[in-house]
Amino acid sequence: MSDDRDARRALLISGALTGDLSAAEQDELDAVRRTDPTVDTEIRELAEVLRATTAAAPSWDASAPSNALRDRVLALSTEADVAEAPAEGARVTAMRRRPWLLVVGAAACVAVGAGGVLLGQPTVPGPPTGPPGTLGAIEQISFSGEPNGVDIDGSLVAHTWGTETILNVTGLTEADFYEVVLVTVAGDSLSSGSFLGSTVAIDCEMNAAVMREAVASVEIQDASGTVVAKAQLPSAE
Amino acid sequence: MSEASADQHLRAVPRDSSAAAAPFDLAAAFDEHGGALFGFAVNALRDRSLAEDCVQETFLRAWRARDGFSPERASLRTWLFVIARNVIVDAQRSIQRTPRIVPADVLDDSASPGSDPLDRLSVIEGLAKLSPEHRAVLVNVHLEGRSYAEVEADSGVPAATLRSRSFYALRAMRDHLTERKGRNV
Repeated sequence: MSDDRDARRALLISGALTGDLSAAEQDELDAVRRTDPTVDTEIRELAEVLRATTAAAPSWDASAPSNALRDRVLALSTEADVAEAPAEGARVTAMRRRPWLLVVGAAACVAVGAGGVLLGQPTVPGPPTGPPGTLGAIEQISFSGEPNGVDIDGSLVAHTWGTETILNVTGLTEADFYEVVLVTVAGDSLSSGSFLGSTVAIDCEMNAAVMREAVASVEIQDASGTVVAKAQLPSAE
Repeated sequence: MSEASADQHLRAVPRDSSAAAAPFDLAAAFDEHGGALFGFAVNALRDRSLAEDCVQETFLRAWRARDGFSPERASLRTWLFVIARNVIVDAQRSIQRTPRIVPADVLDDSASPGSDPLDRLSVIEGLAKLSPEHRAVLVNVHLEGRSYAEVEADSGVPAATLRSRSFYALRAMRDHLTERKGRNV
């Protein structure tokens, strides 16, 4: 197909999508349709794209980023390198990073998997790693004492605002009440949330306003306060 | 600067300290792609401050991972959008995980979302990746509901040109969404 015909086809299809065709253009489109069956297919496909686009983005914020953001990004080259040099004891605090930016939890890993890591780039940055207490890093924890048939897969994420507990639990009695409690090194117990037992696997994330370094253990307690399972934690920096 | 020339800033980045390194030019990368990445973030999150943090985080992760970037595998723009997408998903999920206090009677009435949030994110990503001219015609005509004649009167761009841009913008969106759908199955 020539460039001119391509361009004309594009105009006609575009006009058809918005009802902007004149009578003459409509006749022209009908004529093209009779010889080019892909026209109708493309109109259908682009109409579906339009529907999805307007549904997902009913409006568009076209504003530009601030000059301050540009300054912050340009400063990264020095600040990030400094923060990467632990021997110098440097800290990331020079950069303004919100707590969530340091959170790259299990759910995020699922998203990465679903996205397929585009084009197989081997080094799309992953979650932070480090010893217990490292902000944003996933810390696997091991529960003990759970009844037979109960399986608990747990992990923690240290945040600047507290400690997140991520649990995958199977086998707890259906509809029974359970509470996740963080016990501090000082012996205080802080509830991080509650859930009901289920016949299917329970995935949950719970948050408590206590810093990871202050947490000594994580307990799952039943309605009577009896400890169903407990994870003793290593000390954190 | 073209995307190709932006890529050239990364092409010869041996981090072997013994080699002469051509640095990852953050300024060039931000000037070329920062606006589009911000558009992606601010329209996904509807929070300007959070969106700027996302863009900053995107460039930080890119900077730290610059050794592994391979322009033969993907363009710099594509790579940055992949990182940005992950950052935005992290932000959205972190927000969703933050406990919210709601009246008990709200819980029973809470409807599940009608569409997959990742689908919405894919659409917004596709719009953000379009050229400014292609995105503008989609926004003006299809999102805001203005006629081609009205947009022509405001912009001075002939209606025929706008219609043509609309067609190719929708095609680009279709290709992007098809690719995204293929990756999500």
